[in-house]
Amino acid sequence: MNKFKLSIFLLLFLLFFVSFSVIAQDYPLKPIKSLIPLSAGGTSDIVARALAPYMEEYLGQPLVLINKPGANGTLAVAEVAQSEPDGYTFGWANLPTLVIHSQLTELPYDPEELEFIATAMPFEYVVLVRKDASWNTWEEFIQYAKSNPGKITYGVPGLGSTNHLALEFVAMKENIQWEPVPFPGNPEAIAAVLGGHVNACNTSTTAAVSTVQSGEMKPLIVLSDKRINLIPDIPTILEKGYDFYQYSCLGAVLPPNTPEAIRLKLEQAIEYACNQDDIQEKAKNNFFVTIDFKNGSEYRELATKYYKIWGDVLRQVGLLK
Amino acid sequence: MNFISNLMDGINYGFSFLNLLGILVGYLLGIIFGAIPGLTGGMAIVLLLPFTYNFSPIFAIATLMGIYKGGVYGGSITAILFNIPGTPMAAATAFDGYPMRIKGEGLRALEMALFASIIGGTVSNLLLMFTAPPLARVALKLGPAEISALIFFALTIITNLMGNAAIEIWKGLVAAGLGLLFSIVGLDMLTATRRYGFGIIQLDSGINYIVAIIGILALAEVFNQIDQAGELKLAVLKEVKIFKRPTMKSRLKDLKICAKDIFRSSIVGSIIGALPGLGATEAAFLGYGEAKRNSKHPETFGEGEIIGIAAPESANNAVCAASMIPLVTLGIPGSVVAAALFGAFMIQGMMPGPMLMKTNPEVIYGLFVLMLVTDILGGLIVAYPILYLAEKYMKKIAYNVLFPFIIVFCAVGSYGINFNTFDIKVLLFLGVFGYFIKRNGFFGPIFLIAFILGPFLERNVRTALIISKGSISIFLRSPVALILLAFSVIYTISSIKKKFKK
Repeated sequence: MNKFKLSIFLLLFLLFFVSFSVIAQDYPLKPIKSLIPLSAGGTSDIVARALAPYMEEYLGQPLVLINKPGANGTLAVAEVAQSEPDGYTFGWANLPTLVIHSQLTELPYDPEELEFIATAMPFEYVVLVRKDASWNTWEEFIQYAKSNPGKITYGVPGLGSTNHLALEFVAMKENIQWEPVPFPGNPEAIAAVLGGHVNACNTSTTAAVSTVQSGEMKPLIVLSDKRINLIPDIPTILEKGYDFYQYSCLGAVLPPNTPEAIRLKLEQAIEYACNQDDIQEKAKNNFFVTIDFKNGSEYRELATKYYKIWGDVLRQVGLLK
Repeated sequence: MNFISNLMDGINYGFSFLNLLGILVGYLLGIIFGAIPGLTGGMAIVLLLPFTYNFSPIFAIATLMGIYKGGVYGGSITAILFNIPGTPMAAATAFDGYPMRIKGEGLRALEMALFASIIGGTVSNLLLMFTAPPLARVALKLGPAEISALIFFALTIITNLMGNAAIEIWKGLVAAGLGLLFSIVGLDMLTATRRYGFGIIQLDSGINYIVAIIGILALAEVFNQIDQAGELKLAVLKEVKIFKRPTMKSRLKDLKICAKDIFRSSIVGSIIGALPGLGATEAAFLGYGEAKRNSKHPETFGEGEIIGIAAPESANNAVCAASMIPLVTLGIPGSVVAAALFGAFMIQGMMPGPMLMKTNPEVIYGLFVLMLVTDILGGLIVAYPILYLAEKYMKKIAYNVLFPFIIVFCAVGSYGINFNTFDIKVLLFLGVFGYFIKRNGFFGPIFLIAFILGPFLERNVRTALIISKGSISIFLRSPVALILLAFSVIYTISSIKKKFKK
């Protein structure tokens, strides 16, 4: 190889990287599609929509929010995983659901290969029944379920979701049998309880706000370790003597092999949105959640941790052999 | 009285020059998006939503409402003028709209579509204002079993809709069956298992319904018209000679003829709209089917019957306001548009739902008042002149000049959904497929409705069976479901009988 050829080769080599970094630096140049894995009006949807304007402010491009519920959020994540890794499609994805479903069935993607952007907040769960239901306390509910095996049905936003597994875990501890019914998201599960088609539902806090505040729904138990501001009188699952509690995290992911500069930019956009006073206040007063930003690597660590914890849960409740 | 004072607060809150301007501009945008095949009002809303964040919620809502309603009407313009419905909800309008245009009654059809839209929208707005809570209760009572039966009933009506000969029943069934089959393609909605992917990974997310709409309604129709280009020239020439303008007297007469059907369709549309998942397209077809079934001369449908325009247009517009019912009474958004409005509310720190009605009634009533205004102002100030312009200029344009534009719009619209060239291949496949089924006397719209309803039917049937632990008795125990299923059977038998007599 003579000098001329070598210099051309090097020049092209450099140009390749220059152009690459320019692309990443200029990102984003057009609107970004953002998939929400659950139906409109649910916790993920509400918070993602609240964060969006500030993320847009940071990125300088609009976010096009699209709800794509189904198969427990898997449909949306599959679409993200299969799209171009150019940063123009990303998806919101909740832990631990993201790492549960891949253990249950064969999926068109491996959650570990996705690029983890960040997580904006953890959120809690509440078990709700209709206001005129005959159970006023958790004990009464469990007692009824015990004496009527298989009679209680409860709505969840997908089989294999955290909402579903937590109640199956309870069922295992209490030795009861009840039936999960999957819906596209929490709002539909709540509607099914209101219409009397299922007896109860296990939903995330924000999705429950409007119907709990108006008294249409009666909360029975909070599935976390601390009581929540929305319903300070309702005891937690720890207070009821279970050695277990449940949280989820709202986070975002990109297709595998997305350039790090793009991932970082989106991570910063989420961080920027999370740091706004307005968001913190809305989260506290309207959504009843606490914003707690964690970056991509922390989010990935959490995923690895949850993969193991919930893998054990799956084995214990007998969904995984 | 509480209601009156709330209403006054709502008027104070909602009425401002800016809000009214928002409605008009929104309505115009909606008509443009609705009229162009491949673009829909729903798309316009999703794309414009980010730009509304900086405005007050009521302005954002006024504009989005304008786009929504304009989009629903806009589709019928192209449906009547070119037999290419701009949106699927206008597909039923084309059945009689296009034959009327060929007869030189294009303006009469366009005007009736507008009047029916305004009336349907207004009836549904009033229902929303006065009866939202009880209607929401009724909608909640319809669980997975009842909704399955309702969708089944809708499919039966649609399958029996076309033609008057016996042979068309099995053609309708085949078209509906194909539509259901196409809707299965992709990952299973409950377990994420691959179905009918043939190893093509891009099919995992299923066939995008917007691509299907563009392919079957627009592209297939372009192919079809190219095929008949010779006959078409004759038709256009003939039409110019006998071109008729409606007069005040003929308008009133038309409205009188259609009054009963407009009212029935408005109610049908309102009920369908209040159910999450079902929308304007299904309402339009149900409205058309019911009008045909109740008509003394059903054979005139499909040949330029004015009621065939009034019925679907009032039904699809009635859906708009009704789809807000679950949102304002329960905080559950029932449609894409309701979800977008949900977002607009939340940006301002307001959670739509029963609490908002108690804490900020002026916002909810402001929304009601603006919706009422949208129909009347948007319809008369924006749509009316456009309709005359469209008729005047489109009349002169030769079809063959339009075809390249429509094809380009079809491709761009399909590509724009995911920025993915695979969708253009799907579009081309569906366009050719749609052309062949049409050539052989199968109706594209039936295929399309079944395709759109398929996932809802599947999800609700499966959910119902999960609740009942696999026993089909759940469909028979519920009186509502049982009645709907019985209606489906009776309806099919009676239409087979009717058609065999001919």
